[in-house]
Order: sequence, then structure tokens, then C-alpha cells
Amino acid sequence: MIRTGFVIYLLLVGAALAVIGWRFQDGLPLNTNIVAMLPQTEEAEWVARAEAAERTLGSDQLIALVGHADFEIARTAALDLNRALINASVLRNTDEGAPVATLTDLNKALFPHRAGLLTEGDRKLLAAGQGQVLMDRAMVQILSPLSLTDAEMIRRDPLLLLPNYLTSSLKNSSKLVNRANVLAVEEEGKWYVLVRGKLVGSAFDKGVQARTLDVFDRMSEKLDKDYGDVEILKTGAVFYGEHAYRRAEQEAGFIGIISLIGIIVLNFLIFRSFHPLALTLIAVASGIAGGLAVTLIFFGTLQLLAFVFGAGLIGISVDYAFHYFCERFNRQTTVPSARARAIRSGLTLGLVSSVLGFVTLALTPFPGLQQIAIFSASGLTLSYLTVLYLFPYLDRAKPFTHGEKYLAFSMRLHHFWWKSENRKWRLPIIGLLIAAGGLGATQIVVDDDVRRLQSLPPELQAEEQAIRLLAGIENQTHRFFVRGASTEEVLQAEEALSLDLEALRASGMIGNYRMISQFIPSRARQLENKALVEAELLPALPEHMAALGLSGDVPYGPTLGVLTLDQLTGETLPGTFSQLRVYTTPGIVVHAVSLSGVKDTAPLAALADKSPNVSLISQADSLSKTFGAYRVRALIMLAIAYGVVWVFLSLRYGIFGALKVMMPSAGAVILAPCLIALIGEPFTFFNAMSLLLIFAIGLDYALFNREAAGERQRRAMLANGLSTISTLLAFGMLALSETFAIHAFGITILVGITLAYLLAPLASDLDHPMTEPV
Amino acid sequence: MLRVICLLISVALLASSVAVRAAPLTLGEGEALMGRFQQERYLRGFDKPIRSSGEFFLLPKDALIWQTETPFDSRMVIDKEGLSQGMNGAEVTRLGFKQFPAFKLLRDTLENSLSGNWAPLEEMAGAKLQPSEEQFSLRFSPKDSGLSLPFAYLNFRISDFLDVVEIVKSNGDRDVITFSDQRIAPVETVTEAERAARKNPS
Repeated sequence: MIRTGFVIYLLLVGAALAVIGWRFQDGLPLNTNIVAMLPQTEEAEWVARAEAAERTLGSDQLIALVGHADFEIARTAALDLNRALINASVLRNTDEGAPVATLTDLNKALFPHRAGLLTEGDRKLLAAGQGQVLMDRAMVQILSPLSLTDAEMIRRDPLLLLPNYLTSSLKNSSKLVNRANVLAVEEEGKWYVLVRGKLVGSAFDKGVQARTLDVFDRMSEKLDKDYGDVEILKTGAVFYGEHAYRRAEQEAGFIGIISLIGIIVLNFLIFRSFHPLALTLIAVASGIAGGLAVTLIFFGTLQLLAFVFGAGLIGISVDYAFHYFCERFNRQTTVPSARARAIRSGLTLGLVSSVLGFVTLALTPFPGLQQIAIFSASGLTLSYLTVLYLFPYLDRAKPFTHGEKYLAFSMRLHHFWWKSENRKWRLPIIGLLIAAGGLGATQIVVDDDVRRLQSLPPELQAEEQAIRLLAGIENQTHRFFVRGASTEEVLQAEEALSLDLEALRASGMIGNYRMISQFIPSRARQLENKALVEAELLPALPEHMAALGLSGDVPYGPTLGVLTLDQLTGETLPGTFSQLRVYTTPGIVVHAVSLSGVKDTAPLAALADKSPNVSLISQADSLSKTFGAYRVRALIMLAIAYGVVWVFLSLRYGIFGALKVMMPSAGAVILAPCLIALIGEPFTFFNAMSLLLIFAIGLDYALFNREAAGERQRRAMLANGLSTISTLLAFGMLALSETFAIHAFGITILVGITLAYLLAPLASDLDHPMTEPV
Repeated sequence: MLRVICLLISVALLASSVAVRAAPLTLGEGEALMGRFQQERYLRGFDKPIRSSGEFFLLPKDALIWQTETPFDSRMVIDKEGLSQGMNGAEVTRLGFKQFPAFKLLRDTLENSLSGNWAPLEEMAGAKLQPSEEQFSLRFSPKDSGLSLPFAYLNFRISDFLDVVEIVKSNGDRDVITFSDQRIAPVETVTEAERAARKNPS
């Protein structure tokens, strides 16, 4: 039996390693896109692609403003900083002397197409036959002593169509102005000069992060010393990434070391040998290899969250190992296979219960939960095989001769629940737990809002906000993605969407919106515009020209084609619009429409629902929605998992017996969120996910209590105790984290696992001890 | 004796004929200015200058209002934020100084010159008001600031008030704005007159 199991184990591990080796050839197939955890649909796929493309576009940007009362000093300091960032391989090298794109450049590019470029207001006036208003406007503007126009412009565009188009299109696009070939803004007597560039590597690359921080630290000191009172404001994903990485590193370092030391000390203290620790690591590693291989076979890639939670669930295999090694306290037998046999029933029931629970989870349409389930179930199965069929081969040690006091101490909890002299304490404690749970239940606050879950550093947020205010960058909280087969199709879809958005803006539902078609209209729209100009303006143009004293030909002759997006490449297309170009591949073009000052998302969602090619995106809302959906789904599936496990355990313990075995785990799962609510902790997706771990571990504790009888009860209780301490050290310590998600996971585990351990002896049935399952 | 008197009268007359004013008038605290303007816009290559005229109202540190009456009614308000032009009660142009900072310099120059505040302009131009006959003049060409200015230089002719400003563009275009009937009055009076002009454009 053991030999067969051992061969099966070897074959499975070999296969798992082969699969991992094959899949890792092209790098780690890890997917960090949380949107990919949503159920896959055709629409979600292009939206997810667009979101990913947009994140890449945005995350490699670095923006800084260098401020000083004297413009020349601010400019010189900004150029110094830019040079230092390029020299330190932080920013890509661009030609420093290259002229900044100006209004003149735009004028040149757009001028030949001016008759096709009309503002929405001008279009309406011409459509209503009020061309005279446009002519009078041109005259008023020409007469102004503060006029942008000159003789050349008036001669070629006496209706001033292009200047009005540009002024309207670029309104509120940025407060930054071109001065001495840099972009700058003056605010309260101080000039701020822009330093902007693309990172040479990923914003999440630790090397890039370190170099960036080093340059800013160094240059901040140097510029202050060289020029005095220089202010530097900076923002970009690289700074947020560096902060998150640094904090995670500090926390992981601190919490990880404490946990590791604790687990090693615990092992050594109880088993007085490192041998069990080494074998435990083999069980965990086998589990992770098995989970990873099966997930890669089924899904092709592994989602980051699935890996984190899945690996946590495989950590249950540490408990299997504890049960095995606690059997070495049995001095009656020296045969390793007997140790495996002694725990086999409990282990098998625990594994089957957990796997049934995970399989239930895998039935959801959520890829993230499916991956967690598949990863955990397959990984745990391999860990189980490791403990039962590999350990007896590697474990040749004699029984422990020490440990009597640990075994005796472990039974105190059991005695508390089962000795008659403790009856007077039991009821008040149960009553207290129920009362606290009931009170906590009224305090539970469900919170899926990712904005509250994100603990972004306030100092970086303040700098970002200051840059937004100075540069006049609107805080665009929501956006639409608009899809089409070609750029022309997307531009036309945007123009259709703008009619509804204009109405929403007029009603105050949104503050503003920005789309590429506001700057480059579709071909169809440009041709319509030209026709309007020809019909409504050109007949009266000679009279207008005569009033100006302008003789010669009518300057709006036929032009070559229409303006296309591809004609404005690189720097010529203003940044506000170029950022809206999400991606262009043959057959699929996606543009973003940015929205600011959104008061209510319902009418926007209704707009998106009108067309399959329009999708409303709010990074924060979409993540919050994902988390909310996962939280609810995880809880529903947890309830179903308990139902399935109940049916399974009823086969061995009977209907009521199974309920009794499940009660400690279910009690911990129900009470943990209630008790943490008493200390003001909200209930989130992360809390719900940690309940899955409490479900599985709690069942194991109870099953070992139920399966163990007589002398073995003591060893089962000791193993449960060790498993609880190691789980609390590994996961409960995470409650100390400042990162909300990790903290939520940790605090729930801390309370839930403690409860599961404390309640587990209630699953015992001293009058009806179990025998080996059939 | 008679010869002495005649000599004194002759000297006085001679002196008065070449007298230069001590300084142009300056607006005091709580004072504003109003008057009329006539603008001629000479565009290079155009057959004739484009003429306009109307009233102006200067509310120092607040706004300069240009109420054009001919060739047709329109209104321009230049305040701290920028320039706004309106026609028939509807705004047709809005330019923010944040977007066009060079215009702020022109706005400040016009306000300073109309209110007789010449010292900052002399400092920026690096030149003093030049007396000539009964007037002063100043050629204003600010030092390079990196800003793309909407003019190459300005020529001012001043008596008690600013009489003429010539705005010369780098391409040869020029605007000649002639002011007349200038009158200093309390801010409230000018504000009231401006409101009346707005309601009853001639």
C-alpha cells in the first residue's frame, strides 16, 4: 500500500515538475491583472486589454514640477534635474534642445483642413443658418487690441475658423505654457517648470525605483544648495510602486522573520530535531508544485491573488506533518508506516472535506476563485501523499522519549470541554462568546470600496494633487472605452456619444469630458463641416473681406482630403488627447473618453449599456465591484461547501454526528467576522477569503479530535496546538501589516483560527470513538 | 520800466511756448478713468486700415473695458484672469492669461499707461519718458523673458493722459489707438457709467 502510494507520489511530483519546467520556459506565467479575475466575456476581454494597455501607457510616465520665484532659475534647475534623471538611466534620453510643440506647430498641421474643423457651437450656428454670427465674431476678434491674429492669418482665414477651433478644443487642457522652450506655469509669484519623461524600464522594477529616488534625493539637496529655495513636486507610478514595495519589504522582512523564527523554535522545542522541519518543507514544496502544475494545465497562467491565497491554503499541509510527527510521541511503535496509518483516517477525512469545499468553489464562473480552488485542492492532495507515503521512507527515527509535559498540557483544553468539574465555566464562556458574536454581528460594516482599502501614502497623494492643480490636470475618475474596427468608426462613435454627454454636462451630472474627436473629428464630420462652411459662409465672404479691406481670392479653396489622426503623431498631438489613444491593432481600435466631475454614474452606465462598443470604466469602481462580487460569491460557495461536506461526513458520522464535527469550524467562521467587527474592522473580500482557510483548517482540527481516541487524543491535541501556533505565526502576524488587504487577512485568521482551535474538542465523542474508515 | 515789463512778458510767453509738463497725471486711490478711443488697425498688405471706436473704462486693478460702438457694438473685458469678448450679450471669445501669459504683459502695460503709472514701464523698458513739445513719449520694448509676446514694441505719446499708443507687431502689422475725452472720476462713477454704456450702446 505504502509502496504503491510512494510510486504514485513520485510520478505525480515528476509530472508536476515537468509541467512547471515546460511552462516556465518563457518566464513566470503570472498574471497580475485583477480585472482578469472577472468572468470572461467578449466585452470584458477587449475592456481588460484596453485597461492593461492604458496602465502600461500611464505607469511609465514620470512628472515633476520644479518651482522657484525666478523663472530662469526654475528653468535651469528643471533642466539640471532632467539631465540627472537621464544620466542615471531613469528617463529615456530625448533631445533636450528639441523644441516643445507649440500652438504654431498645431496651427501648421491643422491649417490646410480648417474648413472641416468646426466647434460644436459653430456647427449648430451654421446648421441654423446663422453664419453672420461667425462673421461678426471674426470681426470683433480682429478688432481687439489684444488679438491673436495677424495679417497673414486673417488673409488666409478671415473667418478665424482655426483659431476659434483651437481655443475651444484646447480649453482647460493644461495651464502649462511654452516659455523659453520649456513648459511652465506661474502660480502665486512662483514659476513651476515641467520635467516629464518616460522611464527606461518598468515603474515596478526595483532598480528603476531605487535610481529614481536616489536622483530626486540628491538633486533636491543640490538644487537647493545651488539656487536656494527650489521646490520639487513629483508624481508617477514609480513613486507609489517604490513606496508600496519598500513598505511590503519592511513588513515582510519583520513579520516573516518573526514567523520563521517562531516556527523553527516551536519545531525544535517540541521535536528537538530539525528533521521534522525539513520534511515539512518537502510536504509544502510538493503541494505548491502540484497546485502550480495543475493550475497551469487548466488555465495557462496563474493569477497573482490565486497564487497567494492558494499557497496559504496549501500551508494546511504543515498541519498534516505535525500530526505525523506527533505520532512519534507514541512509544508503542517504532515503525514509521504505523505512524502514517494512525493519522490516515483523520488526514483522509480532512483532505476530502477540504477538496470537496474547494471543488465547490471551482464551480463558480469566476476564474480567480476557480484557480484558488484548483490550486489548493491539487496542491493539498500532493501534500497529503507526501505525508502518508514519502515520510515513512524518509523518517527512520525512533520514537521521541520526551514530550510528556507537552502532551499533558495539550489536553487541558480538551478537559475544559469534557471534564465535569469545568462545567460551571463552560456555559458562561459559551454565553459570552454568543453575546459578543451577536453584538459584533450588529456592528459588521461591509466595505468593498477599493479607495478605502488602498493605503496610498498621503504625502505622495498631496504632491500629485498639487501638480494637478498647478498644471490644470483634471482628476478624471471615470472614463469610457470606445471600440471600433477602425479609427474612423471610433471617432464617429465618440461623436454620437458626445450628444448624450453634452446633455449630461448641461444638467450638471458630469463636469466635463474629453475625447479625441473633439480635436480630430471623424472624416464624415469634417466633410459635413466643409459642406456647411461652403453653404453658409462662403457666399457672404466677399462682403466680409471687403469690410476688412482684404482683396484677392476667397481663401477657403478645396483642400487635399481630411485631417486624420495619423497625421498628428508624436509631440504634435496635445498630450491631453494622445493619452486617450489606448490601442490600435488591425481590426480593433480603442479610444478612451475621459470624464471629470462625475456626480452620478447611473446615467453613464445607461449610456454604456446602449452600445456593446462602449464600456464605462472606473478603475476604482471596477476593482470595488470585482471585490464585492468575489466577497459575495466566496460566502455563498462557503455555505454550499459546508453543505457538501455535511453530506460527506454524514456517511461516516451520521447526520447529527457530522453536524457536531462541523460545528467548531462553522462556529469559528461565523464568529470571527463578528468579533473583529467589535474592534471596528470592516468586512471585505479579504476577510471573506480568509474564512475559506478557517473553514478548511477548522474542519481538520475537529476531525482529528473526532477520529482520535484514548492515548492518541493527546497526540492529536498536541498536533492541533502546534498547527494553531504555526498558523498564527505565519498568517495571524499579518494582522500587524499596514497594508489593508494583508491586515484584513491576518486579523481574521488570528481570531478565526484561535476560535477553531478552542472549539475543536467539542467535536470529540468520547462515548463513540471512531475506528479506521472503511 | 515798460521795457522790463515787456521783457518779462516776452520771457514768460517764450517759456510757456516751450514748457514741458512736470509729469503726466496719475490715478489716485479710489479713482478710475474713462474716455473714448479710436483704433486703426494697419494690416500688412491690406487695402485700408480697419477702424473701430467707442468708449473705454479703466477700473484699476480690476478691469479694462472696451465698449466698441463702430463698426458695430461689442464689448471686451480684460480682467485679472484674462480677456473676454462679447457680442449681443453672448461671449464669443475667452482667453485665459494662464494659457497666454504674454497677453498679461500687454494688459498690465495698458493699465499702467492709462492710469499714469509709468515707473514700472520705464523700468521694464530700461528707458525714461522723453519730453517732446507738450508731450512725453516712450518706446517700450521689454527685455527678453522667454515669452512669445504679441508685439515687437509699443510707442506711447502722453500729455496729461495717455493720448496714443502704437502697438507694432514683428511682422509689420500695427495698431494705433488714440484716446480722447479722458476723465478721472471715482471708481463708483466710472462703474456706473460703464453699466449705462453696456445697457445703452450707441
